[in-house]
Amino acid sequence: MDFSQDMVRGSIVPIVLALLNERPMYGYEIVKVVNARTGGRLEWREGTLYPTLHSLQGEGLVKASWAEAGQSPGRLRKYYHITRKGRAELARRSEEWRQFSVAVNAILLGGAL
Amino acid sequence: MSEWNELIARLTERLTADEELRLDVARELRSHLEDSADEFRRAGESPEQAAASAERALGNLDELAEQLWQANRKRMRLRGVLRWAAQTALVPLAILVILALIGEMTGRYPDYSEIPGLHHPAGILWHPDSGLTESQRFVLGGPAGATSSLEQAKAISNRWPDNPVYYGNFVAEWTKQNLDLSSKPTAEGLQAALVILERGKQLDPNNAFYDFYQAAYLAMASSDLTEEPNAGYPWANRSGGVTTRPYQQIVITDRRQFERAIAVLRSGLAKPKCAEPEIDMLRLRLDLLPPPRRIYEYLQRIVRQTQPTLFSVSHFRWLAKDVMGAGLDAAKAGRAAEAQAYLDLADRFSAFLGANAETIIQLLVARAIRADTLTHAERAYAVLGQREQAEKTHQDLLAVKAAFSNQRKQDDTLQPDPAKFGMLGYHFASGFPGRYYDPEPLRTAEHVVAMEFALVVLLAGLLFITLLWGLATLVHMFRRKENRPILVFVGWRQVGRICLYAVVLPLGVFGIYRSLSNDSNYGLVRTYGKVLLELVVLISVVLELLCCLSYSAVRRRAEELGLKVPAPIRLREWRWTVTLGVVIALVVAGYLVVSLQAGDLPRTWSTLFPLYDSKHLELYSTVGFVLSLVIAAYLVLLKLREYLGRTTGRQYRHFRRTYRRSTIPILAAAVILLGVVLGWGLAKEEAAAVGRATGAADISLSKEIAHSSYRYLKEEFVQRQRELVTQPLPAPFDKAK
Repeated sequence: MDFSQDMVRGSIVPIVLALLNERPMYGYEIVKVVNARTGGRLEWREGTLYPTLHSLQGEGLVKASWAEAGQSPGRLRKYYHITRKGRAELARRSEEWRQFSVAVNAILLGGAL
Repeated sequence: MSEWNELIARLTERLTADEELRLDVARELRSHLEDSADEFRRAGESPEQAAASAERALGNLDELAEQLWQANRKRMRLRGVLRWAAQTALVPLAILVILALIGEMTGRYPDYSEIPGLHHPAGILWHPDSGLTESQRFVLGGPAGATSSLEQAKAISNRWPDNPVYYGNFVAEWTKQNLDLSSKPTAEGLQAALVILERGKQLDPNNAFYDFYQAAYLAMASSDLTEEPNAGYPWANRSGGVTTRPYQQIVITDRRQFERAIAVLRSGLAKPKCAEPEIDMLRLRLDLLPPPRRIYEYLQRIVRQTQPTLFSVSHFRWLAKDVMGAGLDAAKAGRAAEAQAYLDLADRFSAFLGANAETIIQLLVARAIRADTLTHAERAYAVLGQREQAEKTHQDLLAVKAAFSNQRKQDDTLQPDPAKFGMLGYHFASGFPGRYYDPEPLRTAEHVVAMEFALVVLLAGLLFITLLWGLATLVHMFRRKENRPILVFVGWRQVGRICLYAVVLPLGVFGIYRSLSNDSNYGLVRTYGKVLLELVVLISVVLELLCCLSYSAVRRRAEELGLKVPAPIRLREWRWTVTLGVVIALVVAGYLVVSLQAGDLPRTWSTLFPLYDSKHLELYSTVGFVLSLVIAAYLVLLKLREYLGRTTGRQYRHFRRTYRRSTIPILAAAVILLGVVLGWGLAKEEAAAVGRATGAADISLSKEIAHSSYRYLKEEFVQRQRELVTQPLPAPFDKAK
């Protein structure tokens, strides 16, 4: 099932922050991990990721540094690390998502709040 | 892959305002495309297909270019401001810091070039930072057009005509010019002197200074004083030999006038004090000057204290000779009572001057008058046939001589250790009795000054490199519009690392070393070679670490951006240079460790002036001096090796220019940081030392007796005066009648 672009776009930031909270990753790696974990259902346009990462960097939620990739020595990749501010933002967004999904579920699936 | 150049250029086109950011994003996108294409290739696609698939996976390129610009534009704006500040503000600020540091070091009286000549330092007082009001400057230097100290003194006194100190200062200057001991005053000169001195008596009625001067003028005008030929009394001199000192003989040419001189002298002796106006004026002027914070300001105070000439001591001694000559003359004529009265009067005069002495020279003159009076009295009693009195006087004379001799011995044992003296203190204040105490504050202050000079040299060196590279960058950018060097930012972490390793750690180690060293126990006259070496080592280490770490940081960043950079320098390629450096470092370290025991070095007077006479350069300082030169030569060798090495190949030209341009803000920031933090710290340390010097340990003309063994002599005079003041003043003429 294809998700609407609005939903996909809205989920990029918390997903990126959640993945970077696990470990530092470079852009292509993030795309691959998302595709692997979602079974390709999110269908990110790869290019979309970089403006998001740069915005997060500008807001101080992540920081970047160049380092050699473990599996291909001599090749530099730009790794993104989540910052303390980024972790706080991730916690806020996770809670927001939890409450939002509970509220939407209550309407759409008839569950109780 | 070259086929992505166009694609990446299209995506990053709007980021060209920030070349570093554009290159960074481009490198990231290229890396992504390479990873993506690799995966497509592994999935079985041909290289061309894989490249096309990777490109497609990026999505809409125009949309992506727009999103990249939107995501980065805030950052670009902020970075633009920072880059502008780094390029345009840091270097001028660094220059300002150095200028401020130099300005501060010279103190509020910047023209200390007048110190060596000891000329009148009036010009320095017009400096706007001196904080002096117009009237204060007037008191310190007189009117701007005044060409002599007499003119200045007169102008000051005319402006405040009722001030006894200013008037006394004028009188002191006037008498310097108008009372010549080699010729008698003329009748007009005498009259003018009496009027001027009378005004002084009115303004300061308790001060016998004017009475004594009036008496001196009158006595000189009314008599001829000569030394008695073929007669004299033996006196031991400092070198252990014996010299003959003459008896005075006087011919009174105007008895009435001479009697008037004696009467005025008696009226002066009845007064409570004799204050030298030059010293009062000096004290007043020193109080007007702002408290010194810098050693040069302190030295200016010392210079001012060398200016009083205290001519009055010569004039008063002459007056005493007139009186004792008159006594001897009366004795020879058989007028015993008159002779006794004159000699008692001379003795009272010496006690009065000694008890009121504020400087050592006044005290010495009082003691000389006392000794001369006793020898004249002994002769007078002998002439009068009063053998018992003559013997008693002889015993008194022997006691004075013994005290004199003891004083000399005490002086000799109190000779200062030249090594303890600061270089500046020794050369500018060697005549001051401040040498009777340990001039630690002055010594400490000049060590701080040496460090401040070193700091300025270090900062000037850094600034020189910065300006040189700035100029090279400007020329290149002016001549070429494309392939311009990039100003890269190495990141705050790298900046912190550079500061820590190149600045904080070396300075910390130096601070610990300094606290272990006993340099502060010795003046720079002794330790200048070692101190020079220490500072050269510090400067070299900081400079070299700053350059190396900056190079490493910029190189790494340039590599991240995809610029062609030289391979990292490997130590084995530099083995000879490194070996030589290690050998020099070991020798220097050995020398510094050994010299921590500087106190055991020989102390000879011949080592006092090593800067002026190369023959007397002692080994201790020479080694330090030579090692400093070796380090400087090694650094030059290192730089030559670096610039002739492979990093200078044509293929690295762009990187080299980028390195230079990017290092400019780092070096400028280092200059500002070092200048502000260290300059401020050292200024505080110097001010504290100078504060101690102007406190309890002041080298002060007006406190010199208290600082020396002469205070015991002064106490004797005070005690004697206390006894004499209860007795009636001798009156030679009344008794003669």
